[in-house]
Amino acid sequence: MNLRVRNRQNFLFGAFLLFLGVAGIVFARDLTMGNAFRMGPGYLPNVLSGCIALFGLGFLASAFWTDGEEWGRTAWSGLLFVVGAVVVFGLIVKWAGLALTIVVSVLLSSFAATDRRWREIVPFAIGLAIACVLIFGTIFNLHLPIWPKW
Amino acid sequence: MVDLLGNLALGFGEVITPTNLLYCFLGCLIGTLIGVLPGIGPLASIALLLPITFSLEPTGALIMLAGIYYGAQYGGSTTAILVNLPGEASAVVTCIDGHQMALKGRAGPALAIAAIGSFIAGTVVTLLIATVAAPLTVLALRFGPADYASLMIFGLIGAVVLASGSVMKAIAMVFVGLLLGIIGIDVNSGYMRYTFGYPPLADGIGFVALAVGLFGVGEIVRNLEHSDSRSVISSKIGRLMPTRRDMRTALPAIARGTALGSFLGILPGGGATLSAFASYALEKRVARDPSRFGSGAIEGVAGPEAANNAGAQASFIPMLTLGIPANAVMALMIGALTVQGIQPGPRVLQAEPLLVWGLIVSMWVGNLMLLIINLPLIGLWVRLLKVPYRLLFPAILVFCAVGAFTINNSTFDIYMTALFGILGYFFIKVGAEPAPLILGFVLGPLLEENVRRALVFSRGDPIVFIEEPISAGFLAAAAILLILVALPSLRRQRQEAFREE
Repeated sequence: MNLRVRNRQNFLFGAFLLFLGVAGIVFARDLTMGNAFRMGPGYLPNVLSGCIALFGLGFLASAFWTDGEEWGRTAWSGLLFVVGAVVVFGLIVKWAGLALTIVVSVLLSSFAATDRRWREIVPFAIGLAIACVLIFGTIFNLHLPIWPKW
Repeated sequence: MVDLLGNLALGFGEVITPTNLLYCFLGCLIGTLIGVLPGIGPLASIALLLPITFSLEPTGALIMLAGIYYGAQYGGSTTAILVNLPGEASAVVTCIDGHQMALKGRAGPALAIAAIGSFIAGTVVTLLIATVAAPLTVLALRFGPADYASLMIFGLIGAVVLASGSVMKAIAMVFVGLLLGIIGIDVNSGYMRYTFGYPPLADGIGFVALAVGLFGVGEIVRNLEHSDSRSVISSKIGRLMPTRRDMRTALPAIARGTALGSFLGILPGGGATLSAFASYALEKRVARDPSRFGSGAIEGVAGPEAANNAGAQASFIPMLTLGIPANAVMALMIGALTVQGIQPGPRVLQAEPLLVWGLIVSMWVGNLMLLIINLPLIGLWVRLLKVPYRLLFPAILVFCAVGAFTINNSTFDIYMTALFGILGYFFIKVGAEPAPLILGFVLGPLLEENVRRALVFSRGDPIVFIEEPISAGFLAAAAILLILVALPSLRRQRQEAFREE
């Protein structure tokens, strides 16, 4: 028998579901199950997690006998800089304020684009920061921290 | 009939106030904007704007959010015709013939017929909603908890069947959504579930963070896989008005598209995208000379564009009358209502007649505004299309982060957005559509509550779900759907319908 992953999509999705399902059961172990007639708080979490884990096993198995579509590129740098920019936004916004944070996030995220031009992106980041401060800080007055707290 | 006119007059009175007209215009403008721009859809935008609407009064908030959804259907066609890229998923089929028309120097008529078709569809569906809303609510008021639970199951299964891509993956995604919806305090027992002793999780995962991460951030990363290669048709758009012959071929297609969209929009899982695909397939089938399709047939623009607008608006019907979302965008609307302190369901029409009728009438007013926003101002949108993606995506990303932050002024929601952004990209890569997850997430708590209530009434006897005739009907319909989708012949047709995607 030739055991080879032929469907990468199903393999990865299956692995994810199996992991999620098992984690769901493990972390629900302190909740009382009850039964279908008198459901406890743990009933639905366990049933759902079990179903998800079964789905995971199914997809994992199917990865060996179905063919997946072509995987294409994985945008690792995109993932790193785009998600990184969001995380950095969260890390600094409380003390750096909205204006500075937006400039930093825009510049950081633009590392993900292969065709970035600094001369273009720096003024754009500043302009966007001003626009956001006006929209969110002034017009809608959402009480956000806008300037850095030194 | 008198009732209907009275209700519409009530709605008009509510809409024709300076503030509500402004919100309607803003919604339509934002909708067109995100419709024109590829890479951000109505779902992510509505999620982003949710925090802003919290400070508005409910009618204005809903009018604006609705405008974004149907406005995006107008804007999406512009990009499809001029750039051969769908500005919106629902405009995918418009690319096929619309762009061909543009290449032949007929971009003007293509844009015009798309807008006119959308407008006609929007007008018809507004009347349809106004007509069926009241009778449907009367019916829905007789629903008990068991009926509701079964209706939701039917809705979830419908959403799965009508979603594009693998049915099994869609079902799995519904389960993942249901599981994510469990996180937080259990309302029945007061136990913490999956909070890991972490206080911010007690209220559950933020809806905005989930939607913005999955549909906003994930989509950006996917778009960065390929370098940006857009070429806007730069030659003059030319005469806007279609010829008399164009109108003669297009009008029946618009009528068919409107009918199809109104029907598919109401179905769970339906909405704009499905309606457009179905309409294109239908036009191809009824055409006397199907070979014209793919090389600039005007019916191929008129039908789907009417259908996607009809579908977008018709999906409001189950939301307004039953409080059940037909698709993920409607799930967001329900979220918006709940935050405003309005419990969605059949009682909304009686309790908040101004809100419901104002919203319905605003759809027609909005469609009229969109006609103006889209046709005479087309040059503006063309210029916007020339903004490269390398500038666009950092801006979208910043809006995502600000949107997530403004919900509770808490950075926790920003980190959740980042996490769901990674997951969103993962789901795209493995071919699992995230929309069923959102539906599961929204319906999960409602479903659990109704199932438990039904079981309390029946003293724990699950037979209640089959004994109640309405509930049994929904369950039977759900079972039939599942059987149908398993049949090989239908499976092939379903793949056909989504083939172009």
